[in-house]
Amino acid sequence: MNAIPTPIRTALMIAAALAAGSAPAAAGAESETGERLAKVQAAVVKIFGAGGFRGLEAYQTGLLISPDGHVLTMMSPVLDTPALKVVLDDGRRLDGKLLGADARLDVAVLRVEAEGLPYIDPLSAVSAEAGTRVFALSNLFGVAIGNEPASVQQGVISIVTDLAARQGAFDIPFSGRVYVLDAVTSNPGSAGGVLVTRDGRLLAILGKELRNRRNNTWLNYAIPIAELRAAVDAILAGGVAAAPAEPPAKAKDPLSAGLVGLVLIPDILPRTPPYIDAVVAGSPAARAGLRPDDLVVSLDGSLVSSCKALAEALEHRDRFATIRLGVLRGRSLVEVELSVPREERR
Amino acid sequence: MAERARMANPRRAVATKILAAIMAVAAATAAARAADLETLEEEAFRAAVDKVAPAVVQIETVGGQEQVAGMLAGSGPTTGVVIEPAGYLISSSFNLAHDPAAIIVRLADGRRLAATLVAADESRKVSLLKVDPEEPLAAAEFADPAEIRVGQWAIAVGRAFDHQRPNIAVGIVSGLDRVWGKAMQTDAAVSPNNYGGPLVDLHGRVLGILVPMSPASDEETAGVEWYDSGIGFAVPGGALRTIVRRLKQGANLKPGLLGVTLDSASVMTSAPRVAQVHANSPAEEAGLRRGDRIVRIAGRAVQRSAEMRRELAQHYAGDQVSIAVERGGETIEMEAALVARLEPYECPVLGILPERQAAAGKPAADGAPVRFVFPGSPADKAGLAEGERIVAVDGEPVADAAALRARIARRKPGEAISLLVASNGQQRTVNPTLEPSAESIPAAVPAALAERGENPGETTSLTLPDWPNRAAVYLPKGYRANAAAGLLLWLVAPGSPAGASALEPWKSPADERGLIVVVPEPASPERWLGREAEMAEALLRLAMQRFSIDPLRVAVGGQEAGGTLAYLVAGRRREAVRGLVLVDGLLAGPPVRDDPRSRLSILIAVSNNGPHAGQIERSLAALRQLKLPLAVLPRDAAPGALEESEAAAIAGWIDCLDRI
Repeated sequence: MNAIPTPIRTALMIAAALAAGSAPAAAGAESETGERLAKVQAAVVKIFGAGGFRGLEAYQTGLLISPDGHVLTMMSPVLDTPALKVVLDDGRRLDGKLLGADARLDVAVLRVEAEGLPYIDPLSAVSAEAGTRVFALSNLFGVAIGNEPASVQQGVISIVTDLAARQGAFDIPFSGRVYVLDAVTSNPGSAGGVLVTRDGRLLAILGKELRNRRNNTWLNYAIPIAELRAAVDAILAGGVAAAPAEPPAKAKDPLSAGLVGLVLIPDILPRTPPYIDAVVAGSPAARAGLRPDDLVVSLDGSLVSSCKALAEALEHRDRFATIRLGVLRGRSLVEVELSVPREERR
Repeated sequence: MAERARMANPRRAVATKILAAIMAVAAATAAARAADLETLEEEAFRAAVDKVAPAVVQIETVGGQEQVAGMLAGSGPTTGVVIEPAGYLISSSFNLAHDPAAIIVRLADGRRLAATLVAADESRKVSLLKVDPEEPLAAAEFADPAEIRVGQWAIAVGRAFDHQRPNIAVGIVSGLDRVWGKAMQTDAAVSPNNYGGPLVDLHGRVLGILVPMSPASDEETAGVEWYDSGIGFAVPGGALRTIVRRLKQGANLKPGLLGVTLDSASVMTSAPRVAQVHANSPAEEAGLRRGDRIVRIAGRAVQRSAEMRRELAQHYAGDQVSIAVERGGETIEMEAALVARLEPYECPVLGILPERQAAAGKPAADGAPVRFVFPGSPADKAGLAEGERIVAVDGEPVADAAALRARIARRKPGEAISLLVASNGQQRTVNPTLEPSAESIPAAVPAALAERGENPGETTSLTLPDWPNRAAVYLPKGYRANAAAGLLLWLVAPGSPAGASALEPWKSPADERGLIVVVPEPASPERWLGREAEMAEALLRLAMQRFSIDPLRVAVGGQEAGGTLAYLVAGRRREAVRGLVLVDGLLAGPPVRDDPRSRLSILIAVSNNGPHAGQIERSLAALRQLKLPLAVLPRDAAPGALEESEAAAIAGWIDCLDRI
C-alpha cells in the first residue's frame, strides 16, 4: 500500500476517476494493454537459421513490416543460411529469404511468401524520451515455440543517447541514437525484437547483444525506427546495402606529443597516467605554459585516460591542428591551446 | 488546514502540481485516455529525476590499475552525487577501486573540476570526494529515513552514458536493513551505469547511494556480479549523514573488529557464544572469555550470531562499543574499542625443552628444569645450559614449566627478558632476547629421558559408536597408563593403505618419541568426506580419554586430502590440538590462529612437483602472515607414500611441541 506516497496516490486516484469515469481504472487499463500487446505480438516472428554451436544461438526475432511478408530484423550469423525458417505467431512455419542487409546499421530485411499478414507499418513509429514506460517483445532464450507469441518484458527508457559519443566503447558498426533500457533485454534470441510504448506504438528494434567495454556490462538497448528507415527503404528498393562505417581515419601527417615538445613518463602500465615528464624548451608546449608533473586529462574536451589513449587521439589530429589540452596541476584543472607553427616544418 | 499542510509539506506541493496537470489533461480530452495512472506515474518519474539531476554528476578518472580483485576494471565514466554546495560529493568506492591518478567531476554543463578523494568508508563502500567550485553546486535533498517504506517507488539515477543527461532505472524499495544492516535493497536495475548515483523517491529525494554489495564477501568488487539482476543495494541516507561527518576528517572508516571466534555451526540459528578470544584483541582487553554468551551489543539485544554480526557491522574501527555477556548466570557489562586489524599473535621462542615432570617421576622441584637447549636459540645464545632450573622471570618466581610457558607466551619476539637460573645451589641471571619461531625442524633433539615401562609396542584399534570408520592404534614401546605420551591422529591419503599396515612407517619413530599413533580408515577408500571431520574430532576425543596423553603434545595430521581434513579438525578442535601436520595437503577452510592460551604449531611437508604445490606455497604465505609457528619439511620432487624417515621427522617435531 505504500508504493505511492499518500498525496500523490490521492492525486492519481482522482485523476483516474476523472479519466475513466466510475469503472475500475487500473483493470480497464490492463485489459486494454493486453489487447494492444496482442496486436503487436501478432506481427512479431521467430526466426530460425544458422548456428546452434559454440555458444551461438540459431534463433532470433523479427517484425512483419508489410502484409506481404517483409520481416525487419538484425543482421547476424543466424541469417547466414539459405534454409531460413520464419515462424508466425499462429504457428505457421515459412521459408524466409534474405532480401538484403545494411552493414552499417546491421539491419536486415527478410521475405516470406504469404499475404494478408498482420504487420506494423514502420511509418507509424513514434519516438519517446527517457522515463517512458515501454514493452520489449522478443523470443528471448527461445522460450516461445510453435504458435506461442513472443515474450513481453517491461521497463522504462533509461536514456536516449548517442553511441557515437562513446566511441570505442562498443563493438558495433552502428553509431547513432539508441534507447538504453532498464530492463534486461540483451539476451540470446532478442535481436530483432520490438520496443513499443505502453499503448502499443512502435518505437525501436532490439539490438544484438552488446558489451559495454567501458564498464564490462551488457548494454540493453534498441535502435529507433527513425534511424533504420532509410536503410530499410534502400533494401526494399533493391539498393546496394551500405558498407560498414569506417573507423575514423588517422591523419596523414599526424600530431604527436613529441611534436609539441612534450615528454610523457614512460608508458609501462596498461593505463599509465599521461604525466608530463619534461617540456622541451621553446616548444609549443613550453610556450603554452605546460610544466613537468602536469597530468594530461583531456584533449579537445574529451577525457584522456592513459598515455596510450592520448597517443591514439593525437594520431587523429593533423600535425598543424590547434589542440586544447586539459591538464591537472596540483588541485586545479588548466586548459591550454597549442599548435605546431607551419614555419617549424623541417 | 489544507493550506497549512501545503506550505509545510513539499510533497503535497508536488502532488498538487501533478493534480493540476492531471486536471488540465483530463479536462482537455473528454476521452481522457492519456491520463491513466501509468502516464501519471511516468510524469512523476521524470519530475523526480529532474529534481535530483542537477546534483548527479559524472565522474571521470585518469590512469589506475587495469585489474581490481581479479576483475578488469572499468574505465568509466561513472556517477557521483553532490551532497553539499561547497563541493562535497559521495560516490561508490567501486568507481575508484582502480586507484586512479586523477579524479575529475564533470558537471552537466560540461565543466570539469578536479576532485580529491577525502576518505572512504571501507565497510559501506562509499567514498567522499571534494571539489572546489567557483560557485555553489546544486546539492541533493535527502528523504527522511523514518518515512522510507518497502514497496515505495525507487528510481536509480546515474550519469554514466552522457554528462548532459542522466540515465534512469525504475523499481521499488525491496528491503531495508540488508547486508548486515548496511544497505537498503531495490529491484531497480543497479549496475556500473549508476553505481555512485542516488536512489531517489518520487519527489527526487535521495533514499540512498547505489553501491555493489554482497552479504557474502567484503571484497572491493563484491556484489557487482548482481548487476541488473533485480537485486541492487544503496547505502541509506540516514547512515550517510554520520559517515560523511566522519569521512570529512580525512581518515578511512574501516570495519570494526572485536576479535572473537564464535562457537556456532550456523550464524542464523546459534547463539553468539565465544569459542575463542583472540590474543591482543579488543575482546581480550574488554575481558571477554571463552564460553561467554553475548547478549547485547551497543545496547541492542542479540540472540543469534547473525544478529551480533549485524550490530557490529554498524560500527567502525575506533568505536567504543558496549557489550553485555552472560557468564555463569550473571550478566556482565563491558566496553570494547573496536580495531581495524587484529594483530596476529606471534609466540616468542626461548629455545628450551623443559623437563617433563611426571616423566621424570621426581617431586616437582621449584622452577622449570631445562631438559634441552636448542642450538642457536636465544637460550643458547644467553648461555643457558641443560640441567639448570629457571626459577624467576623478570623478578617474578615461576613455580614450574607451565608457569614459565605462560609467562613467556605473553611476551613478544624481540623483547629481552631476565631469567633467574639455579643450579647446584647457585643462582645467576641470564638475559636472552626472545625470537620468533624458526621454520626449520630442529635436528637431533634427544628423546625425553622418560623412565619407560617394559611394554613392547602394541597395535590395537578404536571404534566409534556412530561411525563405520575403524581406527588402527599403535601404542609405543614402554607406554604406561600413568605416564603421558604424545598423540598423533593421522589421516591417510585416500587410496593409500589404511588399517594396521598404515601404522608401519610410524612404529619405530613412535617408539623413540613416546608417541601414540591413531590412524582411522576413510569410510570409502577413495576419498574423505567433509563430514568425516566430525568422525576425526570424535576419535581424537576418544583417544584422549582412553589413553594417557600429554595435552601439550596432541597433533593431527594427514597426507593429501587427509591433510586438508586434518586442517579442518585442527580448526574445529583448536582448544585440544597443539600441532598440525600436512603432507602435500591443501589448506581449505577458515584460517586457524595461534593463541597464547592454546598454542598451535604447523608442520608442512610439500613435494615441489605435486599437483597443488603452487596453492600450498600460497597457503604458506598466508600462514606466515598469521605469524603461526611454522616448520617446513621438503619432500622428494613427486608426491608419494610417506617414508619412515619423514615419519621420524614428524614424530621428532611432535616431541618438541612442549618447547618454550
